[in-house]
Amino acid sequence: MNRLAALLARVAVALSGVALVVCFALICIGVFARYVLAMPIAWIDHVAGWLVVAVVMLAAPEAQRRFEHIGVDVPVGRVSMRTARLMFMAGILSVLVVAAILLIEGWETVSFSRMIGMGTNLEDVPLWWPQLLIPVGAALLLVVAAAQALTMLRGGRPEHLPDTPNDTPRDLLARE
Amino acid sequence: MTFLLLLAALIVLLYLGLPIFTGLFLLSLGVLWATEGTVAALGEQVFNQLDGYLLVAIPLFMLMAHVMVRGRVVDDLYAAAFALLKRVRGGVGIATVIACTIFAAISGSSVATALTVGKIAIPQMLRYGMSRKGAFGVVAGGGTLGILIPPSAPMVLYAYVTETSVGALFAAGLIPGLLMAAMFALYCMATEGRPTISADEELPRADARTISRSLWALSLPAFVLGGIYLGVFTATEAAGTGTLYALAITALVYRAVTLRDLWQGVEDAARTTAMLLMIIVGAAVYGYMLTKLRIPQQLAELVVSWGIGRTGFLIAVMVLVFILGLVLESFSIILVTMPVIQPVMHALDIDPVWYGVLLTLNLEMALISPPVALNLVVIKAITGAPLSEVNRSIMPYMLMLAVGIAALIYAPGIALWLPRTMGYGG
Repeated sequence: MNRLAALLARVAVALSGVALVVCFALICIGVFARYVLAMPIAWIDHVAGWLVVAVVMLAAPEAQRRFEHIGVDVPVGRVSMRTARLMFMAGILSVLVVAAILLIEGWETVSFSRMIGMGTNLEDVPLWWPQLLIPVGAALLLVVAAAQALTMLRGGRPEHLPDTPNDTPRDLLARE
Repeated sequence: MTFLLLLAALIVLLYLGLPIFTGLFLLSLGVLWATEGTVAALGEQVFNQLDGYLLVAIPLFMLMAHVMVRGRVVDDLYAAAFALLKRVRGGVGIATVIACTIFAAISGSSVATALTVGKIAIPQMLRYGMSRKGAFGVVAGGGTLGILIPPSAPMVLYAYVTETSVGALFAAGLIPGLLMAAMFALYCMATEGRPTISADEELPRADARTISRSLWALSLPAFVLGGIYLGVFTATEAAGTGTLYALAITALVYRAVTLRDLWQGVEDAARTTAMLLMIIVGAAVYGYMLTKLRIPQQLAELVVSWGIGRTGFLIAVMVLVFILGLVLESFSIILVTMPVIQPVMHALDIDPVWYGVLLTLNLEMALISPPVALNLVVIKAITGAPLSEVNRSIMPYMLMLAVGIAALIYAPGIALWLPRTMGYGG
């Protein structure tokens, strides 16, 4: 299950990267069209917003796999190994629960939007298409958190579990 | 009182090991189930919170910063600043402040500024006779400029949450940011001697090529901010075109990045965005819970009935934010406090741009406040110095930031003059 979770998370974060690059390209095209061609492209603003939802929901599973979601690190660094393990387990279980709720609620939202035929500002694009990113991202997050929880319950050590949280800032810019 | 209890419950959950986004989400959901019995349209609320055009600026600014950090621009910046200031009293420290200020504008991250500049500057400062206390303090303090000097991701989020103009906030942060940098530089000048350079010593190289490359790096914040201030770009467009500009500089001028590096930067920027904006997922439920319980309205009515006035309220909030800053990071503090504070600000006629800068200054102070201070952890990691020594080094900078906050409460014009002059209103 760990391998499957890792594979899914890596594919998802790659797609998240693609979404970010497309978003960047669209914004640049929008600027060029508005200021150089004097032909503003209105749909770019909407699509860019959806792409941010894609970036967040598709990168969140990999961030979870690497234990990068922002929390309070200090207590984990100041307690015994056993207590620290329990605290990491609590964190993983909380992600599992939130992902499950988001999956159910996100799916209900998608189903409802689809049922009543809700549209967006873009012709021919139903609202449930971008909304689908919420349950999809939540499902991937659920798989990653479930794999981590199972590893912990079996007495194992999930990949990337921090040793000393204070030694590595969560800011990824600060790791380069 | 209910709000303070909720904050205390949230902090307990976080100290149990929960990430901030799940802590906010589960606490709010629990309270809603206990009081309302149900939560309506949760998926829609989460989607609507994440789907905002202004938020697009955050991943793009992240991408711009990742590109520039991978371009290794800070080496040249520091060398050029040091070459110019090597004969000045406290010059090596002032060069660090300048490098921090410029890199802060490029990266928008305090921790990244402290780490990237610190790795280069601390060995040089110690080599040229600066005290350990002075060297550690100036990097930790200078690093805090990352979120105040625009462009700044926390300011974009604050603008999104409070529906304030990003351009006005960026303009408002500029003068206080530069004043803080000047204060830090003056402190170096007052407390440190001239760099001790022996005759045969080889100084960091700062030839014409290094200086011209530094000017390219310096031109990035000028391009981004100039575009916003002159009304050419929106903040999101500035972030997009700024990233394009950063790509051009690193590829054509610095030639320090490969395609592989760039892709790694893209993935890292995506993960950083997820780490920060997943907090919005939790905040979506939290905001809904606060509204359902009518906490913001109750607090606004209470504060107005007490008659403590704007200054009294601001001081109380600054103390609260500082305490929260010891535990939470900047995005969480903005998302946790603003839904409650904004109605009170409105009732007391507090300018949201002014408050935004005050909040950012306060968040900066939290970044260097022991015992939980990321910038101090960074310096400990770079130098291996005991945390107690690093903690002591930062006290003068905390004091200067506190003076900055007090001055800004007393004289809002320090922040508001520039945006008003530029026609942002308010």
